[in-house]
Amino acid sequence: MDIGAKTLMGLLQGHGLGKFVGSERTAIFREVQVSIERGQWVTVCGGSGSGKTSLLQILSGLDPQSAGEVIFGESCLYTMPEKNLARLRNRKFGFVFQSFELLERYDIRTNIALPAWVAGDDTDDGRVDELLDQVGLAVRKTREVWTLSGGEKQRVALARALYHTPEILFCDEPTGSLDDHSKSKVMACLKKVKEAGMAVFFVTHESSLESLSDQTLVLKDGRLV
Amino acid sequence: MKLATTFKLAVSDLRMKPQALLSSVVGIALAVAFLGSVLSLSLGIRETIGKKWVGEYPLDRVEVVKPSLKLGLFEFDGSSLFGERKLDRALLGRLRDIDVVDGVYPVLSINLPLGARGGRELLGKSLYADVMVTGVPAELLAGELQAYLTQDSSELMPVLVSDKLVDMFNSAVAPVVGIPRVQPEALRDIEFEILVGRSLMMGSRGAKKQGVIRSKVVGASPYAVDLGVTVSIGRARSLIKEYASSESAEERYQSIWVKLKHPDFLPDFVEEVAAMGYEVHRRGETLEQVWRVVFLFALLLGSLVFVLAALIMGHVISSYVRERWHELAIMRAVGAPNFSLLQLVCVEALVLGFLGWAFGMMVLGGLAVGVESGLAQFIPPFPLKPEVFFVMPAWLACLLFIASVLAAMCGALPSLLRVSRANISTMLRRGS
Repeated sequence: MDIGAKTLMGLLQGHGLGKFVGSERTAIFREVQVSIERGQWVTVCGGSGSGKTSLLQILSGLDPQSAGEVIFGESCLYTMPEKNLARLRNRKFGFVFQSFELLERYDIRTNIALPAWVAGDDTDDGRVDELLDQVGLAVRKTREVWTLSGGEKQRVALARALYHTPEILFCDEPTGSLDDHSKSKVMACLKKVKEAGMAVFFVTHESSLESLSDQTLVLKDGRLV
Repeated sequence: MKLATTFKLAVSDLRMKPQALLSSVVGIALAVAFLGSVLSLSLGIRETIGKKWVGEYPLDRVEVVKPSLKLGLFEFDGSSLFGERKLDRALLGRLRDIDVVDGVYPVLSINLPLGARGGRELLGKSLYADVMVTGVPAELLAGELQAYLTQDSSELMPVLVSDKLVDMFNSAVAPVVGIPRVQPEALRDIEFEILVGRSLMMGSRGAKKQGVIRSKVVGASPYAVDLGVTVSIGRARSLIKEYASSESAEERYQSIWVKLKHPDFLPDFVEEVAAMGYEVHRRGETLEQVWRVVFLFALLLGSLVFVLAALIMGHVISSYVRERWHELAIMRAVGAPNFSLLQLVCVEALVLGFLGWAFGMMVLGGLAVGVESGLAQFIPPFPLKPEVFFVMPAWLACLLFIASVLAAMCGALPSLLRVSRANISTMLRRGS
């Protein structure tokens, strides 16, 4: 395989991706081609069970594909050693999940600095303050996570995802469980991320994001349409 | 993750479930206390056997005896089975000729009826008992005893008593008669009479005449005969010459002590002696074998208890991991390598192992103090009764620490493997 040629095409690419589940290897999707350029916003739409989240997880190194390959830069994601893949997720990728995925036992600052923690780095307090400002939570900085509203939790999750200034931000229905007010605040933060030139891979079941999106992919019946 | 961060996180995790923490710490503590008590007890008993029964000899001194027949842990005189083996002057010469031998010291048996009468100073009244008398070269003894034993005069014969005999007197006779225990030095200058040529058991067989020799104890030695007294070999020879009939006058040795040029030559020497049809008496070998069996049994039993503790630990750590499944998934998602999780679970196991060990050692300490004082108070003295029952050397404490941490680690391992092999997206889904 000519990886060098493929890397010219984009920052992150999925070639012939497929995901099969169960003993009968039922296909969630197959033969999916994805390419994300630097600073590009890619939206993936589709109904429930269409495989949007699975695609995001495969592209972000959270879940290996059943078929095809994922290339980041010059490396195949799932053939690199576990330690390197973990480092990639820590430094180059950011994650915002629908259900926030925060450590509820800890305070906001600890959650935001989690990528530094798990990488064995010292916490950069200045960076945490900067991110708290960026997501509009500076006044809440000493609060425990469990005391926050859903929208606030999602903004903490966004701040955590941005801690190491990743190259790609993976968002899995980040506004899916939020009310309109919270949703608009989170989306405002994400717009700033796009303006800063970060690539965003955005999974949603809504089709109202066309103004932000550079590329919209629709997953239907196990194929991109 | 940094070690300090890991430690902070581990302690915070463990505090999440105090009951589980307590049950695993108690499990390990009980295992530590159990294994520690059986091992330290067996070490204590071994020390008693080693010091009081077997005696302490320099490493370069070995005792050559007639071959024996060993059946398991039992030992019989096998000299007649292996042909007539004599411990005599000829053998003395052959042993002296071996390259690795520095000196030979025969223990001369006096084949005469002998008895001892006296003890008024010590017991308040005079007693009589048949005794054995042996003779040893003074050079075999340590400096001070050597000098005392050779200060022989025709009026007062210096004798040595066995240090084991002193211990038996202290533990069995003194408390019963109600007299104070004695130090070996305190026995010095006690006088009594040795009746030569007549005894209760032998009558006057082998003696050509009878006599009474005034004797004086000059000290206690491990080279002295256990149930009797030992004199210098010169004095023993003169007793034989003066009192033994012609058929009892042949010079025969009970054993021959050999001083090697270096303790490392022992294996070569043992081989040479075996080739000559004799053997080197391994003092306490049988007791050592018994001790080893007891120690291994204690170790096995204690290890089983540790396996149980590891199972409890496994259950507890697994419940911790289940509880934190989602958190671990989040950590992995944001870039924690498996190694960090391994580190985290290992630190948790280490903390549990340390706490279990510390509590176990406290329980063991309390148990030892209780048992020691109970035995001292309620168990009457008996021969070779240990002064200390529990011995806890530093290596045993370290061994118990390693065992408790290993038990904790082994308990944690299955959960750890499950976490590291699990798919992150599955972990996130399951935790949500």
